[in-house]
Amino acid sequence: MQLSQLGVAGGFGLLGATIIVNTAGLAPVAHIEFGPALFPTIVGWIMIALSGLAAFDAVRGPAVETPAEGEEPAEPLNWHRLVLFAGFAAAPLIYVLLAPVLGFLLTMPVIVGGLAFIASGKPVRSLLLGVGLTVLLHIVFYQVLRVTLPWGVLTNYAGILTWK
Amino acid sequence: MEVIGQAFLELLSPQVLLIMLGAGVYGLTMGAIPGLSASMAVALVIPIAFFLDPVPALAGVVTLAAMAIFAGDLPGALLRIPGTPASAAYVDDSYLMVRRGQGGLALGLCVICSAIGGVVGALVLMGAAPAIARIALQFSSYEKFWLACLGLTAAVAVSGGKWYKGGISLMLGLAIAQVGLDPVSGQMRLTFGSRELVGGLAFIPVLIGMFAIPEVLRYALAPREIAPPPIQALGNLLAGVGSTLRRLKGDLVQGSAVGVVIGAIPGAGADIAAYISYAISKRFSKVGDQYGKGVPDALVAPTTSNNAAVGGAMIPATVFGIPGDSLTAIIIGVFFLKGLNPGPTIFIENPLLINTVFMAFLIANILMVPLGLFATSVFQRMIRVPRYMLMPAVLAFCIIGAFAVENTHFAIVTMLVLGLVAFVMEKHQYPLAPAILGLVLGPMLEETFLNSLIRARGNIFAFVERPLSMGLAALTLVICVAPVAMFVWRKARGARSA
Amino acid sequence: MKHLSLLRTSVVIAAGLVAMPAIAQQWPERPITLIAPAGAGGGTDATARLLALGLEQQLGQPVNVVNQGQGGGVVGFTSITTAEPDGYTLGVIYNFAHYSPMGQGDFDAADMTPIGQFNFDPAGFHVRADSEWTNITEALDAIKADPGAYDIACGGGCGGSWPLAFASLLDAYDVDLSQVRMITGQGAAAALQEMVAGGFDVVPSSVPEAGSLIEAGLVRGLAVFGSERLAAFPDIPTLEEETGMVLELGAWRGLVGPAGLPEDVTAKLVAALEAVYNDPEFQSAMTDRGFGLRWRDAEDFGAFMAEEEVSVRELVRVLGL
Repeated sequence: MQLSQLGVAGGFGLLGATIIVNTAGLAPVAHIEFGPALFPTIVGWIMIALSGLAAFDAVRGPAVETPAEGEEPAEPLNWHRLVLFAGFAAAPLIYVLLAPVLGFLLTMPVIVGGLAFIASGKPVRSLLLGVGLTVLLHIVFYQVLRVTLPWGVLTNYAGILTWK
Repeated sequence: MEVIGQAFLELLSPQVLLIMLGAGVYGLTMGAIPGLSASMAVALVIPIAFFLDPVPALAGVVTLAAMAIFAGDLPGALLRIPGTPASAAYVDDSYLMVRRGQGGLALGLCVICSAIGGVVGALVLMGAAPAIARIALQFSSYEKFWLACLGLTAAVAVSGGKWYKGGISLMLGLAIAQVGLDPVSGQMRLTFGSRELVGGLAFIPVLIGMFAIPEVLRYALAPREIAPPPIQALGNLLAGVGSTLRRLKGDLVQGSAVGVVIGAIPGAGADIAAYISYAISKRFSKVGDQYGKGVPDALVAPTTSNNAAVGGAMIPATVFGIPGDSLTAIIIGVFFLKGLNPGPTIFIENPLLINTVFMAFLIANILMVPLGLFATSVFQRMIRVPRYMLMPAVLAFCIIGAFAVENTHFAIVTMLVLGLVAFVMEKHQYPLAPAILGLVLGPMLEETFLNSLIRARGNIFAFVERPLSMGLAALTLVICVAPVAMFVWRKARGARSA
Repeated sequence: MKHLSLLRTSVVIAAGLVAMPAIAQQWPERPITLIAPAGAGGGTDATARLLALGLEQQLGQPVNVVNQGQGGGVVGFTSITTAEPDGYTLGVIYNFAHYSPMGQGDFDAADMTPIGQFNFDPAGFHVRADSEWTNITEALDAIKADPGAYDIACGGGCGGSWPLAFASLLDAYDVDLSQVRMITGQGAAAALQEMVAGGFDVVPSSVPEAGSLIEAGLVRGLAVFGSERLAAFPDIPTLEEETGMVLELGAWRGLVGPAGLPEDVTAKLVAALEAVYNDPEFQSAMTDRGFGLRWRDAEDFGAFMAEEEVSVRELVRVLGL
């Protein structure tokens, strides 16, 4: 029995079922019997069938998995790693929440510098990386490529901080 | 012939050469940043092209397009993050080769094969564009449906390990493509009442999420400074490439042919070409079972193919004004802007200008060798910063890249969620390449199937009534049935000899 | 690294120095975002970029084009209509009245401040070169006699400019619209290719989009739905010449802001847009790319959008989209 393999297979089975249920009510296209529900339904059923197979294999398989080729051998987790993992996983979300308020120029150094600091414990280097990379990205994406990065609280200074 | 000589002379001005060089460097940079697609790179320079003379403007744009597709291989090989969707099919192979110390060969093959594919594409474009365009024009939705099916068979080739895990991954890709307004009647599907999901899960954020985020998360769980792969000297990059290519001549031919043909069919682009070439190569290779684990054989055909497809896509675009994908659509836009109106008479009315553009495209692909090798050596040095600095930087590029293509913060959420899903999948030996394949082919498969059926008044046999569709259907069937038949035959023979 | 921190310090000082006047200054004092509810590479994107170039010269601030084509444009339209009405977010829009009755979006003309229309492309009626129809009247009569027998391409979605222009024409010709087979696709260029391959009987689209195929002798244009023939295609007659019907149908593009734009900002924008429109460089760039020019000032444009909203709602209902 491989519990985590079973969990993943179950997750995909559930996704398949969700797809089928969610699209069941869609009206067929004019002139033929099928519609936008056809393909999701097929995909959903195949997904359920295949995850059934995966689940069957997980139940039958040996409890200890052999690590896949090329994978680094597992090491015991510690607090530092968990915090780092959570930090990296949450960083995009933090950006989405903070950037509209603080603006790109203030949010990005916090994220990049913060992550580098958690990873290395070197405050000066982390700060320099955060600020330097932010300035670089801002020049390349905002000034040169004209991607409209959010300004947030700096909105009123946008005119001054933009080269024309 | 005379006009080709003249076209060549047109390009030999310092201004044109300088702009081509600049466009090449810009294209390499943009292509190497995951999330910045080749189409976006071209769209962003249109205001500049506006102020230039026709020859430098058009030469610059085609150079840019050629370089950007190649550059997608670089982050794929060095970071396991494909820079453009067209590099996703063989990212595992090139990355594992680099890790194993065969980086010189892997990167050298990417540069040289890309250039060869590009040159073949350009030569076909110059020599046979009108003839090929007429054939490509005959592809109706029935044929495109079978083409999508043919592409799906490539899923088997790109999924190592347990077949049903590859299947689940493929289904996931197809399901992701179904979110949003459906392509046939415009009803909301799998949106769960969310305003943002009406716009669907965008391709590039999903691609970045599935390949880059797991890489970053893997680092977070094991934050050790592993020794980076040794820098390959410029000369070293080419060692072994020659002998490998001599051995795999067939793959070069196959990749070029598949690339040009798939590229020329409107609606199918460099990404589909790469997947199909990979699948064909794997089927006929003696080391087919090693594909996905880092063998040089796996790289040659697809990396040739995706660059040949760029030239292929220009064929219907220049002859009939029908762009095969968004990249060529933008290139054609610049053509119009510079008074070079696509059409069958383009070769009669404006032979010098069009041949100059094609010649520029050819030279750009040759220029790809030195520029590509240079970019490779620069890129290798750039990623040698300590990983505690590199990984936050990669994440920053992912965030800004996802945002830049879609201009919505929701794209960043999409990237993160798919990244977490992909991380879990990889931990459980689910391959990711089939999901990207499903994402590419899903909309095409569904749209062509339903629309063909509406036109056929529900008659399913219409899918095999046209000669061309019958041929493609037969080919798909053969590819699906052949392995089963071979298996049975081998078993039977084995039983007899035992 | 030293000059980096220097740069930061100087930026902070500079920002502090002008902080107060910056708020009191007149519009526009910072870059303007111009949303194009379409992906990079299409017609709306191209016109938006040309327009941005002109507006930049007029207003003295960068005008950045932002592509939001997700959900067939719904996402972009929603961004335009829900933006802060401060004049820093504007949009280049096109025929949008079908989204709301089709249940795809909840915005209408009242959610926008019209600034001006700068483009109109009449729809063309395109058939395969070997089609039995030699003129538009034959085609319309045949469709009227058996509306379900022909496959008509919508280009993109069936609520778009071209299919609705086509449906308006059929409606005016008393064809039973509920029987007509309208089929979606991946844009007008793809539909034209599909028609050449034998997949469609009619593709309504702009004439320049079909131009190369017409020139190649693979496609014929039977009529153009405008008030006069197009300069680049003098052989294609207008609808009025052929049928006597006076209809002007097709795709248009205009500049808008969110509803409630301050009056002084609107006035400046109207003046700037008019100046860009009358710039010969802008006009030639539009014409070179095959985009038709048409001017409607803010007032006319607003009235036109409101009018179209009513007629499109009715059409969507009849077509059962």
